[in-house]
Amino acid sequence: MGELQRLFFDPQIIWETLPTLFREGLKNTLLLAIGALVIGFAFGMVLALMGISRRWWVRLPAVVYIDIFRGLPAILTIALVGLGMPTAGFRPFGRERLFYGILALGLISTAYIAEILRAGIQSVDKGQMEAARSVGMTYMMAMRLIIIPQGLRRVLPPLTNEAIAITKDSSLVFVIGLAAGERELFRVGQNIGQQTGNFSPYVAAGLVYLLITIPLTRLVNVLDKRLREGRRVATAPGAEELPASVEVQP
Amino acid sequence: MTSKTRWILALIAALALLLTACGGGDEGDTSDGATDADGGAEETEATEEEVTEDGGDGAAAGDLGLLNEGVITVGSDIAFEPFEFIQDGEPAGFDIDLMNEIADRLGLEVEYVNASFDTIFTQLAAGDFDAIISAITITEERDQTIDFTDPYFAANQAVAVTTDGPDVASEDDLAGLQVAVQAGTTGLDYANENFTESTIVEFPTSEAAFTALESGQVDAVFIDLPVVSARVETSENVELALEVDTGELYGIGVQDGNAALRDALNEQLADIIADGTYEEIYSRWFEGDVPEQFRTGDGASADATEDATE
Amino acid sequence: MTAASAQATPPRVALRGLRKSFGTLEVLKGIDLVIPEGQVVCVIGPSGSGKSTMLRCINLLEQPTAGAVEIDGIDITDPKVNIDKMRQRVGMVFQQFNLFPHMTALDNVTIALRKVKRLPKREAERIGRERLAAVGLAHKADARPAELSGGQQQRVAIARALAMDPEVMLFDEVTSALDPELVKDVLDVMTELADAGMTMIVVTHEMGFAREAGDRLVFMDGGVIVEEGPPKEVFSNPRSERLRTFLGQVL
Repeated sequence: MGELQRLFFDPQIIWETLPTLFREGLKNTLLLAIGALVIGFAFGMVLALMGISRRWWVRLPAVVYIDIFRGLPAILTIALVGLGMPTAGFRPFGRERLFYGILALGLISTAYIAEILRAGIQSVDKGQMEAARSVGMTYMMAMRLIIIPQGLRRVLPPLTNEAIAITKDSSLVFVIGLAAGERELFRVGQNIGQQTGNFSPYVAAGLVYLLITIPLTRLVNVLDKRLREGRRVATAPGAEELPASVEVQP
Repeated sequence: MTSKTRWILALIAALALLLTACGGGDEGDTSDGATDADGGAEETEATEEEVTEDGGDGAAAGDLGLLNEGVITVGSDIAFEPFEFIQDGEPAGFDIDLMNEIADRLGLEVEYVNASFDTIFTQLAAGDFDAIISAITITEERDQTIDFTDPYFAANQAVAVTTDGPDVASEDDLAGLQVAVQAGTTGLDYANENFTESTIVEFPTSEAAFTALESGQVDAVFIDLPVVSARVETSENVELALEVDTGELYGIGVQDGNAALRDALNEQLADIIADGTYEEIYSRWFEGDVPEQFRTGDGASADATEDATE
Repeated sequence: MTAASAQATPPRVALRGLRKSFGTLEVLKGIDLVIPEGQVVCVIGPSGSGKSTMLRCINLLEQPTAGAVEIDGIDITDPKVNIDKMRQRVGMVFQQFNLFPHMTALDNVTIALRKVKRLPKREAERIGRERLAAVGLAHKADARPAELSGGQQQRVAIARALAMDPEVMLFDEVTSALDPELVKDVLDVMTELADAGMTMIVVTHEMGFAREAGDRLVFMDGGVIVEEGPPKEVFSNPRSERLRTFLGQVL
């Protein structure tokens, strides 16, 4: 049992690892995760709309893309992008390794976010689109103003889960090689672990990950609860009628 | 249950059987000595290694302080290609071949005990083995708990570049370049300490490092000489630019104070180097030339050992 | 207006040979209906008769399988026609209200004015408040749909449709989802609208409204128009067997 403490929970080593974790690891992990989510949301939205198209030739590329990037292990996608692309001569980011990492993670999160958004959009009542079109909105306008805002609200919990997942997947970027200053949390932990012959740096890195993911998990729960129970409704004083239940079946 | 459920259960059972069958592939009796002395050692397995007596010097067990008469019990972390690894269920590799040769010349059988590198020193000191060979770098720290033989291997590093890449004739030429290293290696430590003007990029595997080199993402790779030599053989646009002696030497470990065994090992080692057997064994496992210290006729110098422990 | 010029102006709405199938199921089997400006047409019939489908063809929420739908003489089934623009001329009110839940009542009414008609915010709000006042809900401008009763929501929906200044208003069983005591307020709004001269096509079960506010009653059954005429006449002297059966069931 003492071995466990010495090898995993050495307070001195944990304490000494934290500065590098915060200074370098946290910065790069956040860079990777946020970059990936921005890409994922933008392209995920495009793919989601493609996925609900009535034209099969618009749907098909979206389906194929999503199948591939949800089906491959993240570490493989990262290796293919970070190592494979340059080998093939395709080097859009020159030698900026972290950008390849952001791209790879972005490609992955696009697939997951596309499915999440699609589900959200399709969960919006069809009558909403009909009403929007009836007042003269184009399909895109109706999507932008009416459908997507509603759909998005409903899928905030799964979107937040995706944010957590991508944060954790960023720990795999080390496979494409990182220089000092580029290391994300896991790599910092791994490096210092190798130097000290101890696993406490890994534990320290884990603590910082939790610092990011636990608040997000709490956020998911709050959002989920709010969606299910609805916002507190203010009843107008002296109202002659009670607020209606809209889901009245004829 | 439905027939579909039954199928799935059968599949899972079959998979489970398959996995246990694969795991228990090694026949082996657990050696008596290999108990968990300090709680950190892994499960150890003993593998019998039959070495035919070939008219060697047949030293008596008592003289060398061996655990078992006529047998030298050797501890090793048998998972480090190409020095020691399991091939067809048996230990194989450079260290293994060398050890077998030495034992053979001493008229001894060898019994290898697989152990974890982290605890191999404490186990030797506790008397679990007679000697340990495991690509162990001779360091002053380790020299305090055990005794080392003369060095038997120089872990020289090397710089690899692409044929149309920068000219690297000396370590200074690496300034301003991006140099790939493999994580967890001593090469990495050396690079970080000495190539202060370069950007050191760490990769998890040597394969990844060389991929980055050949795709132009880094300018050079700094890694073990044998690994570079191997790559140069297989890849036409990679070339060896520079050999770097980092002063890292491997030694065989014996118990602190067991001068008899150590001297016996050293004697055989010197002969093996002198008569060319070393080169022959080396060429079985490594590409390229034998490190300068172990070329025929030089012999392992006692000076080298002193340098390493300074 | 002379007889000649009256003929030269195309009717507000004209359905010619309108057919609609959903897969193999033919729901509309040839509808011909011409509705002049200012006429209030009430459409009644058993469920499954195709009344809603016919209504939804008029603003192309359903795509006809055959036939023409003309608004002011323009056949909107023609793919070259800009349907989004045409829909500005046709307002629709739904059974389930379909208000935009993430917006206030005022925003519901003004969003199309701002985004489709590109009116500046101040003008849009002015028009919006007028429309809400006209349906008696000026004081609820900042309320969200969830805070409104069914009847109030439906009136906001009417205001929303009217804000675009359409030439025709379509009503798809707009009181069927309301509690009985809320129905009257909505019908009152619709009656006012009819009196003001709006061309309306109202699919409904409210026979009272049909008799009092309607200019013309259309009875549909099995995908065709079976009988039609002035409401008072049709109600007192139904000519077809099917209508008599239907009226027997609902009245």
